Amino acid sequence: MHKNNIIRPSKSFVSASFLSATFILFTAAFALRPGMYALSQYYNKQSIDIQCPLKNFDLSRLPSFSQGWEFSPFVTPQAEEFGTEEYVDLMLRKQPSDGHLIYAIFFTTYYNDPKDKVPHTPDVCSRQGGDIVTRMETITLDVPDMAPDNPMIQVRLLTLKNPKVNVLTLFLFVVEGKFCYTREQARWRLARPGNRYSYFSKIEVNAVYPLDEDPLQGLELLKSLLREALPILVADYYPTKQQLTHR
Amino acid sequence: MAKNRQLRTHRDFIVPLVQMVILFFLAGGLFWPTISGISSQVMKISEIAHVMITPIAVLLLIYLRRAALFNAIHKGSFVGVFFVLFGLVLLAGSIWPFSYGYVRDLALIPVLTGIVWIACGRQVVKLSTPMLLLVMISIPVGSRLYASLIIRPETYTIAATAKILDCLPNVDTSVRGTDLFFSKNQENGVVALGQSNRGARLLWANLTIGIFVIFSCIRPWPRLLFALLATIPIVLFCNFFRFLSEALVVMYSGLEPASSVPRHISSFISLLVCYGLFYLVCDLHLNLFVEEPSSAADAEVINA
Repeated sequence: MHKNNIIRPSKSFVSASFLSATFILFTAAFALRPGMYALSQYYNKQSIDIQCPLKNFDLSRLPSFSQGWEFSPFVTPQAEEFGTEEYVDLMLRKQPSDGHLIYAIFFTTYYNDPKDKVPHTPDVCSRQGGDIVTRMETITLDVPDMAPDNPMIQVRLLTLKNPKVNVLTLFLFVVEGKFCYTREQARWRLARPGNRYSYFSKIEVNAVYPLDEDPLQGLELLKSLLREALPILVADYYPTKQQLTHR
Repeated sequence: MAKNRQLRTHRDFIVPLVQMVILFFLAGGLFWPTISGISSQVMKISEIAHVMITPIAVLLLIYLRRAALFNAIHKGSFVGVFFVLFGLVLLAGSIWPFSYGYVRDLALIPVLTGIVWIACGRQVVKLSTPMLLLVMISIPVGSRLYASLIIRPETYTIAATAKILDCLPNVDTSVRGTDLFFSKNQENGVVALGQSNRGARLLWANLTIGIFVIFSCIRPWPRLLFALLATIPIVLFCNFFRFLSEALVVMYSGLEPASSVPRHISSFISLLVCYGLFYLVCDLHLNLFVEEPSSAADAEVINA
């Protein structure tokens, strides 16, 4: 290698790149965090109330569940841990003439405080409760009543097993009118600036089966439940797009 | 290369070093909340105890690569400034509008990369990749994010451990959530009672060991690729081994159910196994890697 071709290290402290980086880092060390926190305060979203309390949600309005089904509030000891008073937790029961009792649970929460944390999803918290996740995937649900905006919605499917029963769960989030199926997606959507008001909702439906039965047999039942409940929730309960952006 | 080495003077080394110290100091001020946050967590959460040895591991890697690093020092460039700016944009964006603590901490990595590039040039950045990787691994993942990421590894680890324990004489197991219950000769118990992430602990510590062992020498690309491909399987195997050995210690030691001794023993053994496996992968002479270099300098030549 010829001496002239060797790229020598800088012998001067005042190279342009070093001075630029020093200036940038020095400025950032003093101004970046306070500046961004000030921006976050200035553009802080505000809370918006649900249009109609979720406790009034009437599952008998759903065509597939209007006949033959019994509904009762599902009393859960963890209600205080939901982090909101706006929720509906209903148990659906049906006794077919040629089969065993069918159980399903419809559980929806609504959060509107911008400081509210997006809650754990069933795949995480059910394991703490003693369930084993046996299947975990994302499926597409067709919701013709929400065309043309959202005719197809992605939801998360879980099958869980515990010592007593098999459980099939479908869940999703509705964040400021948009649909998400993971907690991180919901957080990303919530953080996006634009709307003045903020809310998010977690919708979870479960079907319970004995240990010796495949829980996936309840998939069509839960899909119907979501397919029919979602348009009502979006139209009558959650704030509209105009309400979210109104300044 | 030899001629290049002869031409180097102490000043060639001191100017970049002083520049780096100044820029690191400023970056330290900018990322002080990250640094102090990690330091305070280290003493409380055993899961991230490996962070304590990260500075030593980084210094040791620098020492082991000192000759190559010294020879690679060149004039820095403006590319480093873009890395610094990218890190700052990442930091700013993760404060507002997207408030993500983990990304906020990770923004440190492009800033460090940029500083090294500005002071020492591209070759030193290339040689510093393992050190930067170690720093990146030492940034703890948020508990909620971690809980959702480890579902599959944890579920499979617990299930595999239960299957192996079931093969032992007079042992029956059952799994409930993340709890592994066992009965042995009419004696009942539970493995890793009350531990968080019991089925997927020390993954990051194992990864730190792996990165350190793999990059403790400058290796030729085929060997490096082979070792890197083996990293995830080894880390997952060591996690499984840790849980299995903890189960065996709990079952056969007769210690109190809440005793921390089985956890410490299994952690220590699994970390040793991890070191051994990575050492084996890196130094086992197979016919796959014919004519491997006998020294770091030779490896450098091959990689170049």
